Amino acid sequence: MALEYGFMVNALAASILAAIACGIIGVYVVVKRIVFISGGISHASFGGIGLGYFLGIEPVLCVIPFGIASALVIGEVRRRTLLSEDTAIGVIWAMGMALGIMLIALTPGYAPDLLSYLFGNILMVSRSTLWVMLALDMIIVTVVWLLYKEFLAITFDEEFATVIGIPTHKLYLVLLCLIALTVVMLIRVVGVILVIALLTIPAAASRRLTNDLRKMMGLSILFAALFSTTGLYLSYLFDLPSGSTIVLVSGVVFLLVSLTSPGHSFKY
Amino acid sequence: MTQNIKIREIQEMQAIVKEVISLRNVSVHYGDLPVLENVSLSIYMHDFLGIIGPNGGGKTTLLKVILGLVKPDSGKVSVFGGDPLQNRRYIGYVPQHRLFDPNFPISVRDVVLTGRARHALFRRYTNHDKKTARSALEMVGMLPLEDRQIGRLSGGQQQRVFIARALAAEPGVLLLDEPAAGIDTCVQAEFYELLGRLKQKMAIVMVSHDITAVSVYVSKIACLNQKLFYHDSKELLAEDLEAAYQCPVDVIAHGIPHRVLREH
Ligand SMILES: Nc1ncnc2c1ncn2[C@@H]1O[C@H](COP(=O)(O)OP(=O)(O)O)[C@@H](O)[C@H]1O
Ligand SMILES: [Mg+2]
Repeated sequence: MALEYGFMVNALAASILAAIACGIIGVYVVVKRIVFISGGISHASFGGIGLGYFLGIEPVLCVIPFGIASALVIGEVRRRTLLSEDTAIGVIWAMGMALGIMLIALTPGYAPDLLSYLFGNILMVSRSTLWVMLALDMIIVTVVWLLYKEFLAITFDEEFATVIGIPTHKLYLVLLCLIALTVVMLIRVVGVILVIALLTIPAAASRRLTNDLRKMMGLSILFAALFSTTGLYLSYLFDLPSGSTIVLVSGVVFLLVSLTSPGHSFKY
Repeated sequence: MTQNIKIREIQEMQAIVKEVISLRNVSVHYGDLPVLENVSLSIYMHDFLGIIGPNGGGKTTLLKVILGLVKPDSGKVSVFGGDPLQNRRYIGYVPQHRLFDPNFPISVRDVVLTGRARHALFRRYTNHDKKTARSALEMVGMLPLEDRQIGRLSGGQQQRVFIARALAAEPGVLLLDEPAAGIDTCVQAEFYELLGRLKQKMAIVMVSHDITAVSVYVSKIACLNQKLFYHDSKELLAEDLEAAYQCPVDVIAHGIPHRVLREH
């Protein structure tokens, strides 16, 4: 049986841990319509991976500060309105990627498992990475539990939230940082380039089944876990790349849910 | 003599305390487009001020200046005697353009509860918060639909929910930007009467195109087109209206019950 292999157990644990993060945070990404921002944060995070290679540190540990820094820059640009938000995200998106590639090129020797950071390889998750993921999950769940009401107010109507005295901008930055942390977890599962799939598809699928944000989070966690474990199993069975199998499984299920559910008037 | 002066001083001080919003010589430009020019305005407790004026006259901008959402180029704004950024949280605001996403997974009840967010910042909503939100919904007649997803309401019903959200905040002053637009006539009359009652507890500023309604329910009226035409009363001079609307006044005067226009 597949489960006899330690790496398979690790991979399963990683799928569940990542599902918790992307199920919760993906809901905010979808309802606040910040998919492009999240894409920017995840691609820019590749700079952190390059930095990890260059400095000889575990890349995942470099992605955390790098992702948070890009989240904060994107959030600040939005407020200052020096550039259009779209343009700013595009610039940061590409610069982060370019920086990562540059740093890897400058690192002497061969870059092992580079492709796994781009396209994910959940079978390579180590036990220590699992602990990091667990810690990130705990941070994400705690922060969302504490700030649920405030996040709801700022995602629904930012202007009103600002007027009523909620520190909208600061909370928005916190939300972007949580997205950055989620991205870190998803990089292991589907890679920098495919992260956006797991941040959007489970949440969008769950939106079709409920009108309640909390229930959406729960369903979205279930969807994400279902997609990644099914994808993982299929990739093992047919010897396919795990990241793209997971994304394709998600996409197919999403299309089925979208075409058959009663909530199809919700345009997400 | 000194006695008289003292009494006047006291009266003035009371006036200052009750002055909930004050604008002194406020000017606003968007780029090189002047929108508000030298606007001065005092709003006192229990005032019900109606603001009329042509489209693009700067009415929405004026409310946003009060809310600190638009920074004036010159002049001074104070809200409850302080900085708008500090004190705007005591304002109930019903915006003209509702920028929310109708697909957003939120119920009517939860929308109105966000009006309590200031009271419940960084803690859970209490039963008192929930009760206040509930009675705000009741006031606008939307309690029966409290479980509905917000996008599943008509425009007028949504408007009533946003009015309830502002009321749930138990504001000291209510700013309403064309609140009656989209609300049916029957509910409108109830709504204006509700505002008349709320005036006991707060000050109300309402931007409206419905000059007839404004003239019946408000206690003071102002007309805005870049400049504010305002005499701290319910009367407007015909020449003010003419200057503001920039069209012959008798066209306007038809729409205005006689008592609003001062004879001269
Ligand atoms: N954000 C903005 N940027 C540039 N111009 C604006 C902006 N908002 C409003 N304006 C302009 O300012 C003027 C006043 O607008 P507004 O306050 O919305 O008027 P009203 O509410 O009385 O119809 C209009 O000429 C409008 O085109
Ligand atoms: Mg307006």
